[in-house]
Parts: sequence; structure tokens; C-alpha cells
Amino acid sequence: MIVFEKVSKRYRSFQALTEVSGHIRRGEVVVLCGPSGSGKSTLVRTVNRLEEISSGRLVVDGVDVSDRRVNINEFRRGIGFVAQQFNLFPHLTALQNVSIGLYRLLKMPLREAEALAMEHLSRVGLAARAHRYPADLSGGEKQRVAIVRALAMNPKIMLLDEPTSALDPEMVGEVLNLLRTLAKGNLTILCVTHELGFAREVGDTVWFMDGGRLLEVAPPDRFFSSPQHPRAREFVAALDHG
Amino acid sequence: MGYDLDFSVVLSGRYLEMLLSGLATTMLLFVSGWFLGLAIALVLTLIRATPFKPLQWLVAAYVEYHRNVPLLVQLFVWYFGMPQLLPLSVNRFLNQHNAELGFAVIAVSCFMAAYMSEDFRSGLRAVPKAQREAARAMGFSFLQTMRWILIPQAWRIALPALVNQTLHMFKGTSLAGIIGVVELTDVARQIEDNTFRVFEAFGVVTAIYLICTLTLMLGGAALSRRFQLRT
Ligand SMILES: Nc1ncnc2c1ncn2[C@@H]1O[C@H](COP(=O)(O)OP(=O)(O)O)[C@@H](O)[C@H]1O
Ligand SMILES: [Mg+2]
Repeated sequence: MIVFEKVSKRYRSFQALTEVSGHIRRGEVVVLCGPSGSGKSTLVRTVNRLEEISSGRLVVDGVDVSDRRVNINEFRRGIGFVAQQFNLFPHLTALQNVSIGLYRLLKMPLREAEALAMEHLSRVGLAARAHRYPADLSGGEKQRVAIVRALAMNPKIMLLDEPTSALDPEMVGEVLNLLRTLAKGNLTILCVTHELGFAREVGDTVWFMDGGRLLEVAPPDRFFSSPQHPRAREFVAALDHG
Repeated sequence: MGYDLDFSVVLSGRYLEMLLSGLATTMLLFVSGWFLGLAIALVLTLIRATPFKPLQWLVAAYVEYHRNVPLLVQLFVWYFGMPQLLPLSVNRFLNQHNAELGFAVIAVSCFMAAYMSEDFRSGLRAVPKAQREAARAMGFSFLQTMRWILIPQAWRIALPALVNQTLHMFKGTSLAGIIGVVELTDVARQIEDNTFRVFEAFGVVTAIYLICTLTLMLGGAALSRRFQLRT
């Protein structure tokens, strides 16, 4: 579904990604971890071309992402993106945040779009909050709306960049619960997270990055119990103590 | 001091008619100038949001000219300058069709557009970059992102400033009398000329201006409250 072939990314003189090669199968849940500044966000953002790659090849669902001929806007509709800071649209209610993509991009009639959006919000327990503005929602509610906004577009791939790290501890649980249900479906998921328990439970594979390189790819159990790469060992040891 | 205030002269018959028609002209100039100005401002704002430098400079030059040259001079440029550039037949046509008002609308809307586009621009800059990114990641194109995500936030942020510009512009319409537009201030001068009733003529006009500007102010404040962007 997603194939990285020697993908590199540089910002002027700074090499953010160095020859990352890896392969994510359809329906696979990949948990991406690594120290801060290791290039996780950059890698995730190359998948929907929020960041252009400098060299290498990146093929997503059969589409070469760097190909100038692909309609990038259509391409992105098939890929849900959820960032740490939710980024809900503050001038729209929760419901409108979810329906606007259906209505404006997928050209669904307004009523249908809103009914579908409402259905999605109900499923995550937010029906009663549907007509509130983001400013009136808690962090956990905002992040659930953001996830639902992405899901409503019926994507094949979900990209999640530290979806719980901006949340107060008591709200992490509700968002993880939602992500668990997601992971059970047949979505292909690339998720940056430091939630160990979550990674173990729902991840099919852990990708470990450091210094812009993909250093280890392993099933979660093996990665967290006996990491191979020295940098991965240090990283896991620090997690266990923290 | 030997001056008896008497509003009845000014507020009846021919002079009342002149006042009402002056008010109508002022309103026409204001409303059409405002909407045309808004349209131009949106185009200027869009151009400035694209990464194409030469066009951006052109817009910047436009904005600086209109903000730094007095509105009166801009009116003169349109009214006296423009006909020099147009063929005689066009001028003849224009003069038969209220050229003064036409040029005044153009001058006032161009002036208004410069300020409005600056307000939109700072409104746009105040919208976090992540908003644009969230929209683009969903599949909104550049223009769709502008139309549905960024501009709706930008105008809410810019609203108090826009209300201010609107008031300025409303008062600015009074300059159009100098190029021959028979608007409210010009009517006051004519009535004063004919009746020598300085205080009555300008008193009534002052009251009308105040009613209009206060209405605009209150309406603007209500809009700003209603559409306040909470984050
Ligand atoms: N736009 C940018 N310009 C320059 N350097 C950047 C830019 N974005 C990210 N970087 C750098 O790339 C490196 C990787 O960043 P990032 O992918 O955000 O790491 P992570 O998500 O793992 O913390 C960091 O050192 C960061 O400073
Ligand atoms: Mg990051």
C-alpha cells in the first residue's frame, strides 16, 4: 500500500530523512517511534505530499507521490491526516467540521453530508456536542472530532502524528479507544505514538527511526522486549524507565 | 446673538427634497463603492496570497498609492485625468450619464479596496499555518482552502478593522461634492448658499451623518460580537 524506496528529504543543509526504505501492507497498522527530532513527522508528511521528497521513490496505493501529473487534491482525499494539535476549523461547529469535506469536496448534498457526519459523531459519543464550536470542546473531544473528520472522507490510509501527546492524561484513554476500533478495521494506518501499551496492542509492526534513518522494523512484542539496534535499545530502555 | 434658529425652511419643500436626494446619492455612492471595493479587495488579497512575486509587488504598489495619496487627489485624478485618456465619443457618452458619480464610485471603491485588502491580509496572517495545512491535507485546493477555510476566519478576525474602514469611507463620500456629485454635503452647501441658514443646513446634515455612522458602528459592533472567532 505504501512503499518507500530510499526516500530522502533535505531542508537546505539539513538532512531530515536519509534513504528510508520500507513497505506497509494494505490493512497493516504501523507504529512509528523514535526520539524527538528523528524525522517521524517528516516521514508521515511525505505520504500525502505535505512534504516533497528530495530523492528516492514513494508509491502510495499505486500512485507515485512525486509524479507531477497526479491530482494532488484528489489523491489526498483518500488519505486521512490527524495531527497532534487537532487543527479543527474554529469558525465551524463540530458537525460542520466533519461535513464540510463531504459537502465541498465529495459534493454530497448538504443534508446527506450532515446526516452522515452526525452518524460518525454519534458513533464516537459526540452527538450531543455536534453543534458546539471547537472552542467549547475539551481536548479529547476535539481530537475525536478531528479523527472523525478524517474518517468521514472514507480514506484507505490514515496518518496520525502523535494524536494523544497534546492531551491531558485523563483524555488520552478516550482517544486511544477510538483508535483501537480504527485499527481493527481494514484501514492502513501509519501512527506516530509513544503510547507503549497501545503500540503493543494494536500495532502490527513497529518502525523505529533515529537521525532521519529507519533503523529497525519489528513486531511490537519483539521490538519492546528485545530491540536489535543499539539506538533502539537505548530508546526502549529510556521508555521503560520513564 | 441675533440668529434665530429656524429649521422649518430647511426641512420643507424644495430643500427637503434636495436633502433627501442628496442622502440617496450619498447612500448610492457608499453602497456601490463598498461592494465594488470589497470585490476588488478580495481579488487583491488572493493575488497577494499566491507566491508570484511581481504580481505581489504590483498589488503592494496599488495599496500604497491608495493609502498614501489623499482621497481628494484620487478623485481629481479619476475625474480630470481619466477623460484625457479616453476618446471624445466616450467622454461625451460619460458626460450624458452622470460621469461625476461614476468616477466617484470608482475612486471611492479603489480607495476602500486598498484598506480592506490590507485588513484581509493581516486577518489571513493571523490564521495559524496549521489551518491551511489541515485543509490541504483533506484535499481542498488552494482556492477552496481560501474560500472555505481561510477567508471565513480572516474576515472574522478583520471585522473590527473593516468596520472602521467602512466608517472612514462613508465620511469620505462627502469629498465627491467637489467634483460635482450632488451628495449630502454638497446639498448642504447649496442650501446654505441659497438661504444663508448655515447652522440649520449643516446642523441637519450633521445629524443625518451621525445617525448613519452610529448605525454603522452599532451594526458593526453587533456583527463583531456575533462572528467573534474563538479558538
Ligand atoms: N521546515 C523545516 N525546515 C527545516 N528543518 C526542519 C523542518 N521541519 C523539520 N525540520 C527538522 O527535521 C528534523 C526532523 O523533524 P520531525 O520530522 O518533526 O521530527 P519528529 O517528528 O521525529 O520529532 C528536526 O531536526 C527538525 O528540526
Ligand atoms: Mg513530530
